[in-house]
Amino acid sequence: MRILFLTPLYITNVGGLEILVRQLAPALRSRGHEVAIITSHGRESTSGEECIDGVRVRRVDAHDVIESRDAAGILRVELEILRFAREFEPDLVHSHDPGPVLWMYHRASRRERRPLVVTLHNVVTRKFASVLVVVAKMLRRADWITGVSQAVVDDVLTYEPTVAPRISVITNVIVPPAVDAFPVPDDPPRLLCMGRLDRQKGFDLAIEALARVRDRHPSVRLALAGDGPERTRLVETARDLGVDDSIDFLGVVDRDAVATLLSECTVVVMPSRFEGLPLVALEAAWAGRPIVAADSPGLSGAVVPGETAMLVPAEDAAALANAVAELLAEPSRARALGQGARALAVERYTLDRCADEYDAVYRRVLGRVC
Amino acid sequence: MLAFPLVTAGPSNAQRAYDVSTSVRHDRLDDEVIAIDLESGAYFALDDVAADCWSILAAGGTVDAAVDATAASCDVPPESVRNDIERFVEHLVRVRLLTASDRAPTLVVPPRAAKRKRRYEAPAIERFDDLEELLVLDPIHEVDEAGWPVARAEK
Repeated sequence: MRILFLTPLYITNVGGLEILVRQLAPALRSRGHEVAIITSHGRESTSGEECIDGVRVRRVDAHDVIESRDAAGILRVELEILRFAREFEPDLVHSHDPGPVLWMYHRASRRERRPLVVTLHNVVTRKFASVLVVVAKMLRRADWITGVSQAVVDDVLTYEPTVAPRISVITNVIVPPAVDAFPVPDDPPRLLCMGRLDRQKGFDLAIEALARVRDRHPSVRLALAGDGPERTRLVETARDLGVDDSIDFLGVVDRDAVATLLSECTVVVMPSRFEGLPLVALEAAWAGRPIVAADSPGLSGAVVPGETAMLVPAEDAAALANAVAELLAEPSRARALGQGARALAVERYTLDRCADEYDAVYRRVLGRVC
Repeated sequence: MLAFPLVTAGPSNAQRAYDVSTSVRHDRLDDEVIAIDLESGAYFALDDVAADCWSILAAGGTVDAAVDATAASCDVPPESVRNDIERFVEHLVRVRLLTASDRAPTLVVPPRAAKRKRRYEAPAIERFDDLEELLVLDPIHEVDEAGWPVARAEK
């Protein structure tokens, strides 16, 4: 079948959504499908068409024309979308968010409706109540909806319960990082936080926890990989708490560096306030590293408490610190959690499983339409 | 679409030219015209016969030209479509997509004349006033593991 992906952004932007789509497209092609992508362009790219991993990618400046309220530009972009979609002739459209690119595609293709699958990669209600009416409208048009975690699916049903008969969970996957999973290094103990430096990720809580952990484990260090709007505030917090000499703010790192960081860390710390299904949890699992995670939407579903991770109450730096300190004091327990995480990854987070599940959704949707 | 200036005396409505309103932008892809009113944000879609009529009028052609072109492309008598097209043009003026012009009309030769015939349907226009929805879906220029709709820091 011919599958048209819609994404808000694509490679060279590197986020969980882009990583998943970049893995999924070739996996679907290996199953005999043809895949093309329409996306908006970010700062790192420009409008136009290119081929990435054998997949045609058409970039349009959807975000720019919307942000600048350029109505004529909106018309132009919609025609670019329509032109590409008509030429590709998809059997099915799979949108990886219910956002502007999907809206514009839907408007542009009003005469040529194709079966539509929408995948949500994050909970929406926590931050963007104002968009829920429009998002709900977009989802009602979908023939099937998937969420990357049960938390994401539950979130959808709070604002659009009518889609309950046609929604399911398909968890994210990653290509396993090239990591020496075992043994887990612990001398000196190294904590790892990875992700965008924004309030959602809760890295301020990790820094507060570090101050308490260091009282019990003086040689502990925290590596913080990522960048974002909270960086300045986090650096100030570290300085105010007197732990800035125990933290390495690494900025954005590439995939090879991620593997190295995982190899070298003792515990992965994820104090997120909410998530969809964070790829860091999957990467830590593949690396056989124990996780100390906040019991928050999307994150608690990515781990098995007591088997692959320790869960602590959300927004609780003291509880986070206690859990981390416990694990550092009990290396055998940390190893056991890491082994459990690795076993979970092998069972659940494989690309073949993910591609098979999306393939099954596509066939179900096309079967219903036929 | 080929266009040549015509010289006519005192036009009737069927023989007058029309201008696309200055606040309107439009474009055509295949048998579909999309127009947008930059002032109101209203969005219009015209298909098939309506798209052909629009293309003729937007190029300076007359209602008579639109009637003749439609009759030829649909293989029907011109007088069987005239009322529909006149009402359609009146509607385009009423919604301010077109304005009556005093300039001389243009002879417009629609490219479709040689193509296969289409089934006649009275020209119609579809209007959408939901562009605000698109603006509510505020776009994001940076994506992290959370993806859209995590907002940019500057917002």
